[in-house]
Amino acid sequence: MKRIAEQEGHAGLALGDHDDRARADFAFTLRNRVTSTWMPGTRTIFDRRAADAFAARHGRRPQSPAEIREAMDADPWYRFYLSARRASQETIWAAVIPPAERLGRVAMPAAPRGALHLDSSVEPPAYVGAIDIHCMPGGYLADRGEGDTGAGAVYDRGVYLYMSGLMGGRNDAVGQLAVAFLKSRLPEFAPRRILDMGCGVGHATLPWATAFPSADVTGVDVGAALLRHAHVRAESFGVAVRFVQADAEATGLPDGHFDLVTSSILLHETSTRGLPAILAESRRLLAPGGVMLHVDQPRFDDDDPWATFLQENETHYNNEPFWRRYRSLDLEAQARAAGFARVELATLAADVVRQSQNNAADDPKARARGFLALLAFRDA
Amino acid sequence: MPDSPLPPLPRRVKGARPRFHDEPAIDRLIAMLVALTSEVSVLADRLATLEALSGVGHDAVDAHVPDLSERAWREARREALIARVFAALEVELEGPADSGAYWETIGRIERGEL
Ligand SMILES: C[S@@+](CC[C@H](N)C(=O)[O-])C[C@H]1O[C@@H](n2cnc3c(N)ncnc32)[C@H](O)[C@@H]1O
Repeated sequence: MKRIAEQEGHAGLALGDHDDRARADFAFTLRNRVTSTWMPGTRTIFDRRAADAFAARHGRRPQSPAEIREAMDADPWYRFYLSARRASQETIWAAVIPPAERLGRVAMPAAPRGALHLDSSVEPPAYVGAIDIHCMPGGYLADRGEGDTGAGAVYDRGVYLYMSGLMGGRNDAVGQLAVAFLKSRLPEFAPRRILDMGCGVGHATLPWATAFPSADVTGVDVGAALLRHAHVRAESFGVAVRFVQADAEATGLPDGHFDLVTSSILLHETSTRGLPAILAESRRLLAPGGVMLHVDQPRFDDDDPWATFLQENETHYNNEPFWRRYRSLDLEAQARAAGFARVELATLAADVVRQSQNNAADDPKARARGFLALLAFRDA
Repeated sequence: MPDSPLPPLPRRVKGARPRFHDEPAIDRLIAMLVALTSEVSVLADRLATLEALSGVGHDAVDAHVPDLSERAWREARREALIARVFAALEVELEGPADSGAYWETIGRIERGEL
């Protein structure tokens, strides 16, 4: 069961005053209602009447994801649900933006263990700024200049509320999942230099730095305000990370520099063109014998049209432009095309994954679903 | 670091908001209802905070039964509240709006007759 649990405080976290926190608590509770009661309700409506109504019109029951969508779109409860769900999403951002705004210009840590390298000449790929992913106003790229951590502060709180705290007090469940997977799959592996691509505010970067304390850890992202927040946050937690503003498709970092190149939920937010470029860049950056590990959403389960229908809602209603296309890609083939000869896929299952896939927590079929780990080795 | 204050954070989302109902007003009303519920929740939390900070405690509030004169006072307040909230509905009960008289008055004012 998902319960209110406080996010772990740090120097950059904008919780705001009493009413800001009350608004965030409401957004949390409403989001819980959406995922625990309303989302499963869509299936009830489908079984109870929407499928029959479709059958009455077409002489057969809906089969494909597109037909399920047609059946559901015709149902007034479903439309009301979609509208309310969208509004609930907007409630999250409305709750977290004002306290983030009141932070004003944030001073960067005086004697950092890690570092922050911003570069305003970095051109973000068009897909990052084209629409605001997850309906976060201003998106990842909003940058008001020196001392602005706004987009990062908003994202940090937004992720926590949106994922109902299932990401853990440090929003690092996905990073922890990736670390645990790599440690069990390659127990001897001790990377000296680690790169986290599309690191955002460092939610998945810090677990790597903690798991391999003697490694040099670098995080790259295109969002300057995200990186400022990431820096303040990492220093506040006492974790040394070097955050660099760079495009993961062409980081400008030296050839063969890293033993591990990783990312967490980055690939599905790129594009048909950007994803292969990121895999090729990963390979270029790896030292001989180095390891690439990208953790993200798995392919669609084509023989489960209902799950596919639910998944596609992210593209339809949650500003996830690449989601639908991404989830039909063969990532193993993509990695081979990028020059990796040894490629493995694995499934990492966890509660947080099921929620991110719009599945009811108690759906037995959903239990086996998880994130996809794309693991590949650069030849020694 | 510059002294100048930062501009506000963006509030608008890039990417068209989907339409869920043929009548767009319904989607707006749902969004308003969700926002309003959020504000009611914030107020309820504020009251709970007051109950806790004042030392009165939540249980004492739950157990309190107002006497008759207190209840009459509250009743009057509730009636006034309902009248204000449902004014848009009740105003029509007072009879149809007399738009003729309205424009006639404006015309007379503009012609200098009033
Ligand atoms: C869903 S967030 C994930 C953030 C982080 N990895 C985590 O697990 O919390 C995706 C991030 O990827 C970044 N991003 C997308 N495309 C990128 C690119 N080509 N280069 C660098 N960062 C990119 C976005 O700015 C955003 O911060």
